[in-house]
Amino acid sequence: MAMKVFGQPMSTNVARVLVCLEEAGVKYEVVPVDFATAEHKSPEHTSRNPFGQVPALQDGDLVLFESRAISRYVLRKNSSELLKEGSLGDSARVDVWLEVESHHFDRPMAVIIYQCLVLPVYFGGKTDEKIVEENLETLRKTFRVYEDRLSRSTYLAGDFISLADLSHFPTAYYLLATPHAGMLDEFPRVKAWIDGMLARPAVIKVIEMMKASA
Amino acid sequence: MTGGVKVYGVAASPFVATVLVCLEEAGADYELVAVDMAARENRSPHHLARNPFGKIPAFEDGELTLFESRAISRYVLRKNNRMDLLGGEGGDLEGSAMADVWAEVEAHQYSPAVSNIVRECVIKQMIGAGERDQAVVDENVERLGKVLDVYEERLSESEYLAGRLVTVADLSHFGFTWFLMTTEYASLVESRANVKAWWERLLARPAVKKVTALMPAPGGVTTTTI
Repeated sequence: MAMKVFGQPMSTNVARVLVCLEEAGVKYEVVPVDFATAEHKSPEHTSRNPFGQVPALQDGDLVLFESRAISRYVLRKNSSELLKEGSLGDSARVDVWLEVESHHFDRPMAVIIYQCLVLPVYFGGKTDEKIVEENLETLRKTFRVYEDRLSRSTYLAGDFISLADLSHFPTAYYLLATPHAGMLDEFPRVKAWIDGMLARPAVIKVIEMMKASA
Repeated sequence: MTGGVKVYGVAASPFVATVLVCLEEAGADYELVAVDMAARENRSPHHLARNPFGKIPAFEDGELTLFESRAISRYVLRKNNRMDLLGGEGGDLEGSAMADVWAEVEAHQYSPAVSNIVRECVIKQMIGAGERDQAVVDENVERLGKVLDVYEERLSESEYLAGRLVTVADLSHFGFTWFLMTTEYASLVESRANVKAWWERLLARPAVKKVTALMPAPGGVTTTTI
């Protein structure tokens, strides 16, 4: 039976799971959750994700939520080299940079994406440039660390691509759609790293799904 | 080679405290090397070489340097064969997935709310960074209440977040919850029977007791310890 992913591909958290499923070559089905009708708050959905968020994953009797936990499960189940669980040191480095992605990249990016893309397009609101600027500054600090890191190894956790790198792609993809994509010119290694990820077949496939569900 | 690992930071940091709990659970030899936060040692070149974001903890095991408390904790437990605490004993895919889920919940739902309460009510006073912003506290108390309602429901189904057995998902709550319980907002935990019982189970663990002995009592922390 194919795994079921609940949520829309345009969501960065859903896309994160989809890229792992694609990389692992796993059969899956996407079941949309309609935010416009508050389906994410329905008893049926909250029985899968008690915080009423997306994604959720169903694999037989197992139901999971939180995209990075789902991603680990999918990759681990398929013995993917994207986790490096055969090596204590390498897997630790994957864990480090996955934490960095959560706390130093995703956090400012979520605000920037909301202000620049979601608020004006979906809610007819006005971008708060002050908030955007504050979060761009935080993002710059993060990118400075990444630029240095990527001068020492090809990817974040080492000379191998891992979940830590791929976890960035959906959010990085949306950064390119904001008026602030140009900031990446200040960080050439980061830019090349993102471009490299966006060229992967699994990523290209998920981007098509993200565009189709927008 | 001594065989011991090094944790750079101070026990009063909720993130460092969680790593210490995992080291104690693993029975690992370790040394806590103080970082003088008041003197901004966390921004010094030698600390930035270990944690490029200038935060604590940082961690060294021989040639391996790590940062981010949750990554350090996983490494410590894996290295010391405590796969049970990662939910993955015997290669249990479901068990490890459930531990991962609730570890993410701590990181993305619980800690963002509780850390704001702890920062406003405890840490700012400790380091002399001003008075609490009650509006921020109130907003996060409401947020945390909703999260704890989910926990209350979850903990009616099992003794620990990931299931029958304790895992890193439970242990990673130690640091911030310790400080929360020193404030008037301890009532958020105390008013929820299952959450309260769960917290008390964690406090009763020998490893947790060892670390609570290192934690500051309310009002007992100087600027050099944060």
